[in-house]
Amino acid sequence: MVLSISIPRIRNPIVSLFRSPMIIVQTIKREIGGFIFFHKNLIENEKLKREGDFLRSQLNETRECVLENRRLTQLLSLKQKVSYKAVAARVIGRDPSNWESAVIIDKGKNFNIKKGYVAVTFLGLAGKVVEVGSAASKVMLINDPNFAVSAFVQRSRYEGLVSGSLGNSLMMKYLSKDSDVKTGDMIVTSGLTVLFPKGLLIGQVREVGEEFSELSRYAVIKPAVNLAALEEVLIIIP
Amino acid sequence: MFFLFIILCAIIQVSLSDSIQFFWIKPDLLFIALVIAGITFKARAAVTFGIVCGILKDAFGIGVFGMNSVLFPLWSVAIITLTRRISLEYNIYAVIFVALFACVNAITTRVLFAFFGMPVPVWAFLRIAFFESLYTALFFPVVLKVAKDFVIRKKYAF
Repeated sequence: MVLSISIPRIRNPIVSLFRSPMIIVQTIKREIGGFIFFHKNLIENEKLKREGDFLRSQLNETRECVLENRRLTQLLSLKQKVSYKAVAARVIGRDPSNWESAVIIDKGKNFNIKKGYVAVTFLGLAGKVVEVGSAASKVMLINDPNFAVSAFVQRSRYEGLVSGSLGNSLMMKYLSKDSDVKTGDMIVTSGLTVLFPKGLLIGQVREVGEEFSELSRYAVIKPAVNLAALEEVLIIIP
Repeated sequence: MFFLFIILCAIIQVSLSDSIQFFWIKPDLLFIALVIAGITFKARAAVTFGIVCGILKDAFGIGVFGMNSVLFPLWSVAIITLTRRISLEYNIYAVIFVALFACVNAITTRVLFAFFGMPVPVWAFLRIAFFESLYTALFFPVVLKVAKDFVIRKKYAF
């Protein structure tokens, strides 16, 4: 009880104290990286412009579908999905240990962030908030072995539990032996884990195998988010 | 002055280590600072620096707070005892020494994680224990040179 109260009081002031130097170092690193990787950035910029134009055209088509969906939903008098608020935060540091996978972000209690809130990017699920200070917070990433979220295969709706394995892949365990899951399937959150909205993209199945006990199956998942190059996250405020 | 060096190692490890990581492994600069303190300073100062290194590593992490704060001073004492008996005159000896010590640290950390009910996959443990130790040891001569040239003014054991 004493430890659970005193440990954040030791950790949070230290992290808050280092917040400004970490932000300065990250800014300098980004600027120097811009000079060093100028040519690479130029090529990537052109590629992204072409991709942006393509996605804009896709977006227009999708807007039409959304409007039609709204009209039909109203017609059928179905409940609307509740949209949620999000706070953007910059990643200013990472866990110094190789045994955990976490990032430090530059927002904290002053932005109504609380422990347990989900961190996402535009590509998918990134992690969850595990510690909150006044001006900085720590986010446990999805590839941390202590992270676990209930998920299902988007195509076949078979459920399992996704957890991290300290690398560039995740494990989806407790899939039933007869589950319909194959390479290339998309894995999304099921909404059964508290505070995790349903439908957040986690990743794509890379490999499917059978557990040693032969009672269930597992899937190796490639995360949708590039966790090694995470620079910004959105914290979902429920 | 060495306190500032430790703080600099902590900032670099937290802010820039993702730029120098290979296969999700980054060098443990705070552990290197601990070893430098152990081989350079007297017992009381070395243990104090060890505690500071441990507290900083725990403060920026999300694991059990206090694990490194307790382990690092113990490693300081062990390093002080061993370096009075072993010559680390050549860089290769120092690299091997740091690699072995980092490996022992990794094994101890794994055992403690298991004790606290925080699982780590076996293959992840082997990867971290082996590669982190090697990577940290390879960084040691560079960091030691920086510490010698800019921070530590007086002569020491080797």
